[in-house]
Amino acid sequence: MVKILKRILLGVAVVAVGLFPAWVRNAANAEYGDVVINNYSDGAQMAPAVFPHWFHRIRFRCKVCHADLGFEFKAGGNDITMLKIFDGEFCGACHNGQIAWSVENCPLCHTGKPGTKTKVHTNTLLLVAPAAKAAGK
Amino acid sequence: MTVFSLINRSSGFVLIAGVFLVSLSCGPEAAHAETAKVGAPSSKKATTKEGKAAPSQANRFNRLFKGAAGFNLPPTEDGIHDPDSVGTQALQPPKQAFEDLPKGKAGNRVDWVQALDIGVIQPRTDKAGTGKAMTVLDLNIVREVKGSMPDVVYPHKPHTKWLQCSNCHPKIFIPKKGANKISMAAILAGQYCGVCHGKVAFPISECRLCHSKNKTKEQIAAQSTKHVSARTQAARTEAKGTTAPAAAAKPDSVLDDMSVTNLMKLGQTIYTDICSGCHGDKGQGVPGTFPALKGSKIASGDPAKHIDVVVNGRPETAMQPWKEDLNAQEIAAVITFERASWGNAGGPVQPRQVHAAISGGKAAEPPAPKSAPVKAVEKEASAKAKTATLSKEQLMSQGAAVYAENCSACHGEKGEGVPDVAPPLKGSKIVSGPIDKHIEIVLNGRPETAMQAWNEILSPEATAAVITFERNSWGNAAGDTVQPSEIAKGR
Repeated sequence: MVKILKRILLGVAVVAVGLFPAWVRNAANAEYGDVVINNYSDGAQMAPAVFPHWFHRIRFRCKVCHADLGFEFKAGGNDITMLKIFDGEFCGACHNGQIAWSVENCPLCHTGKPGTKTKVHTNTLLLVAPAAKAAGK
Repeated sequence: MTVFSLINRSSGFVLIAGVFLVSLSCGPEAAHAETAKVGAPSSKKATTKEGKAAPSQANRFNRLFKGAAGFNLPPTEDGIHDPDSVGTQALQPPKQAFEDLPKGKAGNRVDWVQALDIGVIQPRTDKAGTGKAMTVLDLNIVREVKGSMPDVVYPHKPHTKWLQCSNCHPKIFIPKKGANKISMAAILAGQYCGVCHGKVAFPISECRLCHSKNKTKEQIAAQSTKHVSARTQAARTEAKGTTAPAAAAKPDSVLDDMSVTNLMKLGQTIYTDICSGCHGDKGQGVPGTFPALKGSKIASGDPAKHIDVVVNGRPETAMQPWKEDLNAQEIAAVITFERASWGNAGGPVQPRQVHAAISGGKAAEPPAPKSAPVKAVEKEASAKAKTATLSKEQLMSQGAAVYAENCSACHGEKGEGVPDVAPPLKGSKIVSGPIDKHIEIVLNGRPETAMQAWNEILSPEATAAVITFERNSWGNAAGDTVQPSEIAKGR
């Protein structure tokens, strides 16, 4: 009886969590290595782009993007714009309909919640950010 | 790779159906979530064996990293994707992609290095997927670290299966041994290894994946002389004065009380040299990982507790026992410094108090400074043994082996080099020119390039052999040879 009650309670809890507005829930549950790029999106009333590292590293070695294509090792450090992507720079080097799907699939990248900051989420640096700030770094 | 590979099989589900499904099928996961929620606050109240309250954040290192229920959530639940977006619902959930990949303990919970090695993933080496091979360098760099923490072994091999030299050299790491001031604090702040580890590559919670070379007891003891910087050694000499030169060997002879000024002076040097890497240059620590000493209860409370932590370390944390690396005087000095800095209000500690703690605990062997000179003598002897004169044939055959193992990854199997990365040696002016310049580059490397100094990696014999080999291979016709003794002279 207690077991059944527990199950029911658990079910209710899960439904409650599922129905909770997503923005209330913790962004620290992002997949490791997911980068939100919001350099210009918010200003342009567009959802920020989310770059999943894991999806890409299954398909490409790091060096393809970080050496051949020139992506800096820094979230927000590349000043990516749609114009550059149309011109075949950055994401546009592959997302051109030849190597990967092309840029008209806006909502596949621009899936971020509005207002999400540009950074690598679930980053260990986040644990030390206050200390780094205090040390003036 | 088209858009179709992105589409999640379950994209047809509307949100409410998804929630229904979750509530039916994910009982165990939800249970994990509950446990995690309950676990976090209760761990704050956790008590130590002695029944005292657990000290602040000191032992919470790995607990900051999420439990299983917080990993690999589908995009609709991960907190950064907009769950109402059509795009989000079309994305492949990571769990589905990771199903066949070897499991890891942290990060994506995938062992990416193994996944590549066993071929379960075959990521392209260029965007077009021409199948061009990576230039893999099989070279381990051992980095000795303080205390009894195992030394770091940096393997180029798994790194160069994913990355090319220019990704790291010379921008992130100056390719020269000893030129990079790497510390855990710098890594946590996103520098050096922290450029990737902690963001994409496995996070710093996996200490032992890097700190993998265990030290023997003798090595730990020998570090008392080896591992303390020249600065600290100078301070040691100064503190002891010229009257007690043998003091370093016998902690007992440095047990006289010292003035607070002298304790502070010595303590500051040792703190900066040894402790600040983790505890911060201003005692600020690294929240959640290394405790702050500024405002610390231990640093302002009972001196016996403070001495105990420094002398014996904290088991199962990164805090090392320092009794074998530092003598009683030095430990007293650094404790005094910590207790009187950054607004802390603890009183000074004298060497005899530390000595009592060391001898009162487990019978601590005094450090064995003799082992270091002995090692040096052995090294010299072995170096001499390796300076026998060799014939050109011997040099050539040995050189070919050394070259294949150490040089060919960058300079090519036939000396052809790698464009934009490493110059060809075939037809090289240096290799065919004056031999002194050639030796100099191999021994000392080329600053700000990927060419590193080999003088600490290769023996004189191996160096002589490989230089001779390079000068007489692939059409290079310098014709001369170099003997190990000449290399030993140049080092």
